[in-house]
Amino acid sequence: MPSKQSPRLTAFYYFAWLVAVVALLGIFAAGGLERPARTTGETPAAKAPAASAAAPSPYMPVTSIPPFDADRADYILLAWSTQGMQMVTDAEPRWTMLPPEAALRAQLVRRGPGPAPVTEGVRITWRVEREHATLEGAPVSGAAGEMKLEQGGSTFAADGIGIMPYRASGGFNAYPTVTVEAHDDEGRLLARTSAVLPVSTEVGCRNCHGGAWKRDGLAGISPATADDVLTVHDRINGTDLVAQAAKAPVECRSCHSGAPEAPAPSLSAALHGWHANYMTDGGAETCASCHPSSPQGATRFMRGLHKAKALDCTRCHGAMEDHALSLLRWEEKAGRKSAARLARELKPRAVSAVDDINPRAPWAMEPDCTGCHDFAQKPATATASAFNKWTASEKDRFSARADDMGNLRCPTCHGAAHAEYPAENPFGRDLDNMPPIQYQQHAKVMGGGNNCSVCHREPLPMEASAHHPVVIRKTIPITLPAGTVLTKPAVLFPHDTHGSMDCGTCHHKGYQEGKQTCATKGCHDRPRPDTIEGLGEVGYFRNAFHGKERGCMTCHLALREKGKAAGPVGCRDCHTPGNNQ
Amino acid sequence: MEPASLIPLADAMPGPAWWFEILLLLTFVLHLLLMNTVLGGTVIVAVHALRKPASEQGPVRDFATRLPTALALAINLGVPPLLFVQVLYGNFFYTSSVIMALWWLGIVGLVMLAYYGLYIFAINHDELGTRRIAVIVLALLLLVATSFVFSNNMTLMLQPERWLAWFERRDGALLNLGDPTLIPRWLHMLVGSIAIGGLALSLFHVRRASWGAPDAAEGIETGLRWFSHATYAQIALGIWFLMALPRDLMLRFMGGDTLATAAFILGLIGTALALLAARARSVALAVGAAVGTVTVMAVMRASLREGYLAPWAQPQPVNFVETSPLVLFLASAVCGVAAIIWMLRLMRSSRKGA
Amino acid sequence: MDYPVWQLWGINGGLLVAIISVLHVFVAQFAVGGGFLLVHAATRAERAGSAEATFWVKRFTRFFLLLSMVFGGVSGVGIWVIISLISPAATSLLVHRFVYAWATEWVFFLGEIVALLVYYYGFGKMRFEDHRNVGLLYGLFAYLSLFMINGIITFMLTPGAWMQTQGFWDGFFNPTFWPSLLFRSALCAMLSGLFGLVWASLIDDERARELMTGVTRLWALVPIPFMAVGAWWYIGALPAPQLEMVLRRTADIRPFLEAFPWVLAALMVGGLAFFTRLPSGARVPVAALLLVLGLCQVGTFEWVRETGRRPWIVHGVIWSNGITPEAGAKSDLEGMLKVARWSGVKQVAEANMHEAGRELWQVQCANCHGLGAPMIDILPRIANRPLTGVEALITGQGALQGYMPPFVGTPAERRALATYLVNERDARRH
Repeated sequence: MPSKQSPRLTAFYYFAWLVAVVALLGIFAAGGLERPARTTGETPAAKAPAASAAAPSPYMPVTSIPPFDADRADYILLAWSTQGMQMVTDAEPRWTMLPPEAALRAQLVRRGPGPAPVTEGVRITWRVEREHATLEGAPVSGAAGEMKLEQGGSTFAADGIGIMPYRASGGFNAYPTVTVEAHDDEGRLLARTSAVLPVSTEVGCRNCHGGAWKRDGLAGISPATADDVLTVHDRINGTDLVAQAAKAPVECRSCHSGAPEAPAPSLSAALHGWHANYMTDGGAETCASCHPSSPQGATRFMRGLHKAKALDCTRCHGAMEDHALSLLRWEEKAGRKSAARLARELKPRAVSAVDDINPRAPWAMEPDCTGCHDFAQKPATATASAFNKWTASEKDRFSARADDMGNLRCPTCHGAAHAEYPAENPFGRDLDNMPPIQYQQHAKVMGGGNNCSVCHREPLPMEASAHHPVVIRKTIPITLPAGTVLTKPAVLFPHDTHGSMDCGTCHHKGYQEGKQTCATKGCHDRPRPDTIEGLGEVGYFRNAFHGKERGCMTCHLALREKGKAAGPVGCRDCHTPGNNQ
Repeated sequence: MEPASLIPLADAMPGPAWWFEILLLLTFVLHLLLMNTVLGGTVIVAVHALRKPASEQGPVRDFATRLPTALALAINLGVPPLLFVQVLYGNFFYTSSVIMALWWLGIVGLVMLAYYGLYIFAINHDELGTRRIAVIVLALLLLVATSFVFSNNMTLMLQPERWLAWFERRDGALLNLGDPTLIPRWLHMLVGSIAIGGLALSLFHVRRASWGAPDAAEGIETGLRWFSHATYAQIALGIWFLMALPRDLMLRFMGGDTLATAAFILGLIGTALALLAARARSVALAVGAAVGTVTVMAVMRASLREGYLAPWAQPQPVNFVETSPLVLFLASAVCGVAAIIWMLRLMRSSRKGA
Repeated sequence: MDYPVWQLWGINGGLLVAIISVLHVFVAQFAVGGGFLLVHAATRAERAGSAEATFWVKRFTRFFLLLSMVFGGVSGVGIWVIISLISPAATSLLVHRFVYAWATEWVFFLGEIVALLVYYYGFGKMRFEDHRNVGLLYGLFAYLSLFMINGIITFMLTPGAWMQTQGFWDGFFNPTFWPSLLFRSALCAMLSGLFGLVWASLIDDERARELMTGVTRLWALVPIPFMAVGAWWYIGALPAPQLEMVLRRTADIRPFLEAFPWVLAALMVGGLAFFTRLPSGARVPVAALLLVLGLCQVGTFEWVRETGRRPWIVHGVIWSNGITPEAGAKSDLEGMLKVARWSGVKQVAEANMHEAGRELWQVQCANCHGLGAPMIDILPRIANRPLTGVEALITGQGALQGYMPPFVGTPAERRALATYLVNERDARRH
């Protein structure tokens, strides 16, 4: 092998090799050095996006309930919003998904005996109470309007009300109130009532897409957030929405129309179907990531009787995966292949197989009330669920249903969805309960608690109600000590609904001769004492139920604190006037 | 944290363990002999380059030109033992490799640059002038560094209790320096290489003596001298290595385990034989005894490995049987070896114009 | 998850594998084609009686010795080392399942080295026919070693019937074995021709230069149509999931897939140029450019093959991060931190979110993603996202965009990983 080599080439090889050796040793030296850890702990940003202020809107005591003369008034006017909360995406100028189009309904009842809804010779109008922004170009602009009678029914409707939750003077209010009035043809006022027309722009895209809230640090979709949504959409789907948005707001529904011939899935199926893959294993907090139901938010729209019974979104609508699957199954039935891809990795939560989830069309097929309510007995609050039990069509939805006589719509008496009477509105006590409070001074279903006379002007047995079978709870009267003077209606106690509790919880001294009543001699057997000190004594009869450590109120309040299903805490809920009948 | 919980599960093998142990041992011995030739040979060449001027490099000059070829074969023959050690002990070996990943990956660069260094030394020897000393010394250091890295990995893989150090330093820069057997083991390998390198030098010159090359006798003499001195040093290092072992493992070779003890005794006999043969200037006998000793030492090494790993017994997965792939391998080995022999014969016999 | 994870700094493990592999393939595949090219060139030189050309072939052989044997051989071991370090579980699977394939390949590698050494050292000393036969053996052994490694590499992308039978031959002769062999054989031939063209262009003697250019340009050009056919066949042989991955429109693969035919076309045009009278000053630069294009060709091909295999290392068996679906299912139930042997944190809690997240990152993500470093740096991919957003990305990964494996672990662990990433991102902002 040794032969003549060029000296220059030799020198080149030598130096090149030396450089390589030095470089290798240098890498070893660099690698051998100790390196401190980059970060050691949390930075402030590594927390969930800042919760909204505890009370973002000023707490609004209700002062505007119109008066009602129970003896002389001939009419009852009841009004409600169809959705209980209208969700608006305030993402202009980038895109429009859910424009403001609130819907108001009202029914005018001529009081009885033999009450009936009034459809002729009357004019029903609505008017927004406090100044709110309304959207120009919505079907109904401005802060007032007239309601039209629905075809073939007795309900007056106003749709497409472009109300927004922003006051012209500044601030956010998801619960603007409307005053609804009924005038006869001569212009005489027949009845007036107040109701909320809830609307919120607290749509939480920013929770994942970043960016700040658009308005007041509480609501609205800022351009940064809106841009990220479009950017992601473009990247995933090969669209050019970012470029389009630079010229005019993109209308999501232009592609996601839900029409059979549209290539893209319906808006609801696309949104839920896509995002369900990114938001699994959650409960109602997943819903609150986008919908205005966050318990720390400025809307908190889940506020009705169902909430008091510790139901959350998932009990009726299903967990996110199930919710998405029901929509996607409908899309697959409609022949849209993209739905299969979205559904592929979703694992059903409430059922074992995807095929067990019933397909549902968005907005038309909603959880059916009869999924829990069979009108024979009260639903079991711990387990009742209307998930997978969809209405056959939009006519069977809660907001469209009527009673067995076909006269009164369900929300007319029961209140709007998500705000069933009694609703607890976090931003104004009884904001949602204005109609029943106006007419019966009790936040409860109209006529509830044996109060049929509010419309019928005569006492009637609830068991004979022609509206729908009423489940009467079996109750037992509470034995009072001798000498008790009743200042409120006596309480009828539903013993059976407390059957799952340990008997000793209430019968805490056990049983004597097989019975133990509260007013047993030696227990809570004294009527109202004369002294103030005596009011706190255990022997005082009232303290068996309103005591500090034990009692109906004590227990109910504690359960409510924990967010569990609890019994009533309002005075009239136990001391119901009808009890005296 | 329990070291035992850190040991990954072993994968199933396509055959019984004893079969792969045999393959591992045989191929490792071949690799060892060639690697020793290169490493030891480079030591000898480097020392000669340092000590003597260029004009007196006779005996080692031509030997040095064979080193790159020897390295090529050493690397190639390193592949099967690396393969079989992964089949048998992969769960230990990969782990220790990751723990010292920086150095382990570094051997690729070390070996490649040593290889190029040996080629530059061989091809451009005269043109380099005195720079050739830097080249051969650096190449030697690169090879020595490689051997050190290997000793670290081979000892670390056997001691899961030392793996816990990874939790303090995860960037692959750890070594097994805390192990008292590391240095004596490594030096034993290193000096053993020098011994074998010396024999290789002698063997090289035996062939050249057959056609009357002038410095052949000196070459044989030089090689045997290196061999003898290195082997004396080996005896001392071997004792040090043995005593540095944990007591129960040391006793394995002194009656604790039959195979290990027999191998030890045979190894001592072989060493003595080789030294005597060297004294008697019988290169063939010395080479034969040395190869035998190296083989027996490899058996000892395998037994030592078994002893280290015994407390860490793992659930063995059920091995599956695959005959046809084995047949493929054996058939290719037979054909391959046959072709190699044919080519080498051809090279010797075929003459241009004949 | 059974092995510790090498925590690299400044570069990510996947990129190291890519660099070492592409360089090795470039050199090694040149050697595979080169054996036969050498024989062809030597025969031409001999027949033409050109001693200069024969001398050139000998020098070219030495180039083989110095490049393919040293760099090619050691870098091949280098690939083995780096994959053992970055993906020990997958390496262990391949070693245990295909040990005899590796062992057979070694036999051919040994034959290849000996043949090359004999060919070089016997050059000019042996009878021409004997010398030629040794050269042919060199080419044959090199080709056979490609044959063996081809089986294992194609197995990783399309295991085929092995998924059901676990049989060696089912895995070896899998759906893409033959198309890949055709493609790679042609690629090897072309690469040897490209190397040869550069060398031939440097010959001073005009006649020798013409002779050798005549040989090497054939090798540079003729294989190209076969490469096109092989590539087309390769794509056609892919099962639907793999095909979907290869054809996806994401930035990590699409540009390479689209570049592939253009580079091939450029090589064709450049190769054809050598069939014309090129001005003498242009030969070496054009040949050198073609060689660079050849490296690009290797790069695009290997990149598409590896990237199209995402999210798997062995399709359907082990994900790119060394986790199997079985281990993943276990981790979803019990927590990845508990299942992974080498995790310093065994349970996620409020107090250790960051550390737990770091462990999760290292075991599941660091294999492919850099953190403020190449490649596929994760930080730009989570820019401006709040914690919930990062958590959502982790939850949904792999479900709709198939190039990611799913996150394995509990919801609390997802949050811990998101926390770690957000912390790391924000720490770099200040």
